[in-house]
Amino acid sequence: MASDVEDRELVARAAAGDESSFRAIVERHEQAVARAVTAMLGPGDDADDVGQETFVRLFGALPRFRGEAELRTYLTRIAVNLSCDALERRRRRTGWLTIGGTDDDPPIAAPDEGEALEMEERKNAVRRAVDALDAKHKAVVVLRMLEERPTREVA
Amino acid sequence: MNKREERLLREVLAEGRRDRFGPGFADRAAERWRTSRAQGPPLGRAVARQFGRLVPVAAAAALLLAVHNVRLRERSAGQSVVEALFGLPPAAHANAVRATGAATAAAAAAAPASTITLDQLYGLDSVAPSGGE
Repeated sequence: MASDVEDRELVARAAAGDESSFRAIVERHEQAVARAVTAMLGPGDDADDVGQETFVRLFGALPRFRGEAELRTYLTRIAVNLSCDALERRRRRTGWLTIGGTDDDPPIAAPDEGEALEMEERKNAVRRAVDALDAKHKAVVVLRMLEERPTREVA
Repeated sequence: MNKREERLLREVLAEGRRDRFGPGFADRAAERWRTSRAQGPPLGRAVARQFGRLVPVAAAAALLLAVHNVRLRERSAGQSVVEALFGLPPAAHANAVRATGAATAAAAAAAPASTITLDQLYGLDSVAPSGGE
């Protein structure tokens, strides 16, 4: 609760032009934003760009932020919306969505080679299925499965 | 979806996830924030703000005009409140005929005394004949 009050104070000060308060908000909430954005886009320049834009947009959206929701929730919502837009742009650019992991990632450790191979094949199938999702459905899966947000919030 | 599939899905989703952006993220975000503040609000928001300022003035002007119409205009027979409000003549057949007649007379008065040829219309009457070449 104390954190909420501090958040509100920081937001008010940053909205008045105080850069140190803006930085404090960024440092405090970078993790929540980074987790949501990189889960959607994978690490890289796109994610960094969306992360920065999320914090800048917060101040554009302040008239609609009434302080009822946690700032973290609000930032995550902006981040997911911007990530959806970035995914759509990426899809238009490349015609295909790619998830953050690369083929160089080590396979999950398994007791024997056969099981490891089967596991990797299954993972590839899941990866392809996730890649085939459109941006909004991917956001739902990320928020529900990874961020473990309540259904109401995801909706 | 069974537990194993759910775990696989979580693992796949978590592959690209990071807890932090690259080093210096706060600096980059602050720089962008400064630039954004220096540039002011985007065009759409600026237009919306200006429009918001104009709305009360426009509404007050419309109200004044309506009051003026209702108070100063003599309500002719058959004129509804809405017509009086907007300063419209009563919608009646006689008015329509009168208006059409007036328009026809005005058009006849404005018409040139003689007809013009297509050559005159396109400015070709000044072009000299070719002389039989």
